Amino acid sequence: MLYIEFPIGGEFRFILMIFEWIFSIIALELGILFMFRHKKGQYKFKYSQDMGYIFLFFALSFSSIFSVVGSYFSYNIVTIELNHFISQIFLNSAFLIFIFLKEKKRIYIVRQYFFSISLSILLIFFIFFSFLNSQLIIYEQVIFFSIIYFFFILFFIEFIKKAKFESNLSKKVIITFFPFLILLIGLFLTSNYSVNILTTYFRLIGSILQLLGLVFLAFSFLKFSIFSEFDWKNNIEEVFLINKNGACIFYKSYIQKLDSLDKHLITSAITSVNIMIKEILKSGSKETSVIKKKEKLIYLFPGDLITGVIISKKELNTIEFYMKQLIMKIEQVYKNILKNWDGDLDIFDPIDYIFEEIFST
Amino acid sequence: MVFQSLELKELQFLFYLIPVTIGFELVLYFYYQYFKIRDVKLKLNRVLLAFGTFCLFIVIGPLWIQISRNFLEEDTQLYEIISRIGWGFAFLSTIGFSSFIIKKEFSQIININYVKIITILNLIPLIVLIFTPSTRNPVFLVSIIFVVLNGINIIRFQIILIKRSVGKIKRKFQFFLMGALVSFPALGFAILVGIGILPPIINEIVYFTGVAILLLGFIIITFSVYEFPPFYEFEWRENLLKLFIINQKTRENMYYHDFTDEFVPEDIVIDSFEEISQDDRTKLYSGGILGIESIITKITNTKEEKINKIEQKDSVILLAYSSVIPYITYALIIRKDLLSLGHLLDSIKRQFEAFYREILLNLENLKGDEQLLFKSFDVILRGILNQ
Repeated sequence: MLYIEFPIGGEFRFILMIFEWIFSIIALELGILFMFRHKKGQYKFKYSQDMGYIFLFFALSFSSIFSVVGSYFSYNIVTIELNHFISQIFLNSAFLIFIFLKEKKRIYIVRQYFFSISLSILLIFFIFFSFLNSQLIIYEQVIFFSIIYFFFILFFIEFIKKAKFESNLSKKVIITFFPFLILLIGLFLTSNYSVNILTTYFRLIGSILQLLGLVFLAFSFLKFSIFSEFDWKNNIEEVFLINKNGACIFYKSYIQKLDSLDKHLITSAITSVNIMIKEILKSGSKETSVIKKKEKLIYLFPGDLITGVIISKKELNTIEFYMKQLIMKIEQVYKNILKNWDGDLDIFDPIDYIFEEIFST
Repeated sequence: MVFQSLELKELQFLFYLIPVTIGFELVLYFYYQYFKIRDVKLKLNRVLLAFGTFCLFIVIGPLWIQISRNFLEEDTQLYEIISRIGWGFAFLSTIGFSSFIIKKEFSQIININYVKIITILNLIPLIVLIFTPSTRNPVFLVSIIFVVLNGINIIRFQIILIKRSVGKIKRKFQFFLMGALVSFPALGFAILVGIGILPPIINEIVYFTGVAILLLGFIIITFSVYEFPPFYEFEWRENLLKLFIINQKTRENMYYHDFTDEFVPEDIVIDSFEEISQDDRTKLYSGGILGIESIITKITNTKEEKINKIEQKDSVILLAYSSVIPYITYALIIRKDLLSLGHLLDSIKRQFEAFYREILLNLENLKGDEQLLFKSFDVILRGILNQ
């Protein structure tokens, strides 16, 4: 049996219910908003990791809805426990998928997917045994939040390490982690475990905190996309931009510099390879191609007038978004020049600055 | 699941909180959009305040009525006070909207005196509300007609707005009107529930249907508020003549656009030097503009101060200067000096410098082909003009 008496009554019932309900509404709105932006391609959600945020908002919303029903509108033990059980499943799944998508690209501790596996085991254990003993919901919450907090501490440390040379680091850290911290504290204070050992007064504080955390979190997501592969730039070796005739109009190297002849030879060869790939695979002219070789990857991003080529050490999901931005911008700015190019390369010198501008965001 | 009366009322209230939350977000966003460009003093932008205020009172009013109806029925006195405050707020929604459009600038599309009279008449139900013994009193219910009348006038105003506007802003007005039209029946439902004449179950069905309709209306309005463009004077397009972006150092014209073919009505004759080629003409214009500036600077001995406007009988030259490269001048030749066109020139300057920022920073290293390069700005300019 849960210690708290459900449905929650007393002086805080109404205000608690309103705060938790508004939390559900705003989380749902944010999920829909981010999904729309993702579909429209406005936001940098071009990679699976950040899809976790959309799922997080939806799951937080559904978790809160079931929690409200279970806490305020359920009158027998079966419906109370069932609603809290479903709420908990949503909450666990939200963080499980969020962390899984983060761990997909990185080992945080011991081995890859350590946290995902731990949370999955906890979730399976919870699903099978909570029916036998409802007290398990409370224990599960304690372990669940401990793991989440631990993950976020590691995530925070790694973020600081990777981004220590970035400008506005302290601002980014505050804007990114402060809302998460408030949200997690809020979620913990509104959990049944906290209400059991504390009082509904703390649940009210938790409700306010989780609502504030959600609003700040949304603001930080709209402002930055800094949870992504922020070290992706370290893995790029060379970047080429090639016009439709195979001439190199822009070249940037993060390793040794090639002389003019070499880079034109390389771009001509890449253009030939690209034509052959398209012929063999009968693929569309605007499909991105990836050529993989041990420890080297060649990405080809075709546009209407130019093709972007990146040679990298590692697989990069983030790069496609930036490369397409670069190609789009150059095609817009140089549209008339590219159509009637007289061979003068000087006109393309400012591309270096456009590249820096786009790739430094 | 059997709910007690209080829980059912709480459920109704929670359901109503969904449109309330969206409504408050709409209010904040409309006000934010207005205050974002408030310093430009575009008078017609007050329509954003009108929309925001309408949404604010249409959300707050029924919210108070809901609180009184659901939770204060036992305390008759408090019920009456809260309920009347709610009705008062609801009536203020139309008064608020109308008071923001009683402006000289809107007189081109709507009779301001007529709006004033209707707005004053809309005050009658507010006065009746204070003195009526009950909100179920027939006199009070009849006085609501004046609110409806003002509501109809607001709809009429929006239809005219849609007819007179073009581009993106037209779509935004269409969405707002559509959302408002969908929301209005919800007011009818709210009145029915508020005066409490329906039997219990029917009352609840009407309530939930009304809230669902209101929610749908607000969702549609959300599409109108997102990226709402600045509201320029109605005739701003017809007053555009030419745009020049000039490099003062080389005295070359970097970009030129002639609006006369697109926007100026056929009956207006634009003086053109037929015998001079287009290219020479643009050179002449840009050289002339720079010449005027340097002569005036010399005469007035004001090197730091820049000319912002040159006026002559039927035309005006608006000037703006680059914030990235000090030697770039933006000149917009117009027929009539409108506040909007100053904002338009700033917007063109901002977009040009954002689009070519890296190129402009290296302008000195570019040899030839600049005009071909900057010609790509046509696409961006088209986007600005279609707002």
